[in-house]
Amino acid sequence: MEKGVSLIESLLIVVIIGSVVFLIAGLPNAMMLIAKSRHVSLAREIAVKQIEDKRTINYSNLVNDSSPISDTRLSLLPEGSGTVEVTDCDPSICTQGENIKQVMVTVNWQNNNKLQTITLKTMIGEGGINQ
Amino acid sequence: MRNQQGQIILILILVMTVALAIGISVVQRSLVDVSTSTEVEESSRAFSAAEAGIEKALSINSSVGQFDLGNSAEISEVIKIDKPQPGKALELESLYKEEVAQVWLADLNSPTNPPAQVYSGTTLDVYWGSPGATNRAALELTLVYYESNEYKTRKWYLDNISANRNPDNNFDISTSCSGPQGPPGGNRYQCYKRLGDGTCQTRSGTCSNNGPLQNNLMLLRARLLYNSDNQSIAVRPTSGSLPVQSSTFYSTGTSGNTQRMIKVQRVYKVVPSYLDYAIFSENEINK
Repeated sequence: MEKGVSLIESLLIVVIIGSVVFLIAGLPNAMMLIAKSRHVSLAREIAVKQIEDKRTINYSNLVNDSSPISDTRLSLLPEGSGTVEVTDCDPSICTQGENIKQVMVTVNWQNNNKLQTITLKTMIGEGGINQ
Repeated sequence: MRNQQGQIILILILVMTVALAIGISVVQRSLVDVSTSTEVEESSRAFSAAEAGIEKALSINSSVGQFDLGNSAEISEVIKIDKPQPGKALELESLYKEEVAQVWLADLNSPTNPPAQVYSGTTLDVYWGSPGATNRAALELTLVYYESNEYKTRKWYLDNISANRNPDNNFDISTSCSGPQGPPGGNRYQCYKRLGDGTCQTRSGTCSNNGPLQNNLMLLRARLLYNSDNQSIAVRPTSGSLPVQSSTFYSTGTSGNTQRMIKVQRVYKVVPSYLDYAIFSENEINK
């Protein structure tokens, strides 16, 4: 009784070691989730900035096209890229022939070899916000 | 040896507790981060959708019902509220001393020159000043109307009967300055005067410059005097309605469980503030 290690002590050590291993094993996953959320936030900021930039353009200079995003922060995203697409308003939405353009911003990046995408859509009209 | 027994267990339990705390905090933080970033993304989608709703409403100048924008976002609704409502008073933003506000009395979207008259009443109620204010404001009003093929102006200078001006400014006075009073259902003001009802009084006696309002009323410009803080003005039609002066749009965008609302106010044409101080001439002005 006075020498050696008791069964309870042995069991506790096993449990503790198991718990620590379990937590350490979960750390990379947690860190990955944190990195992913950072990437999502950054991609969102880039997309919002693109929409704000489009709103500063006079409606008459807003032409239909699809162009790549040029934002230095894209390099902070793994394989980050994106496009800004300006099209005429969908006739099912603009049923009265309104002078409105639809703007769709898409930001892509890779996360664990999986393609991640954020897409923001809005509309810019003649005589509308900032116009 | 007997005294050392059990210490290892305590130390291990301590280590395990610390490790668990660290582990749980890391996992919790990662989960919160993911949840927050998802909500922020939805919020951005909802905001963009709400802006899209505003654009459509501004374009057609009316309320808009629900429509789907795609991209897991929709515009719940866009509500347009005109100011003033038919038959109701127009309550203007509060003004500091000598700031100018204006009220359209004609159709500002009219293609004709002069614009078509909207308000054709011969009298008009005005309210001004904060109830209880000790810096009693006076009011300068300029009525622009069209007569005999030209635009003309008519002035009122109205002062609070309780104000002590030294020397006297010779303004007409309002004897109804014991507010709070105001248009039905509206804010409260200190003074009230009905323009065009024929009653007129100065500190030294009666006067005669408050006859009926002319035809072809265009606009009314108002300026507060003597006040040392922001005070408000309201104009109420005594018959019919004032034309719409501004519209407020409330647009609600929805994405997932997130909703964002945007409020946009469209103020219609405003005459520049220097109008009261400028000289306009069809031909060259010679000294």
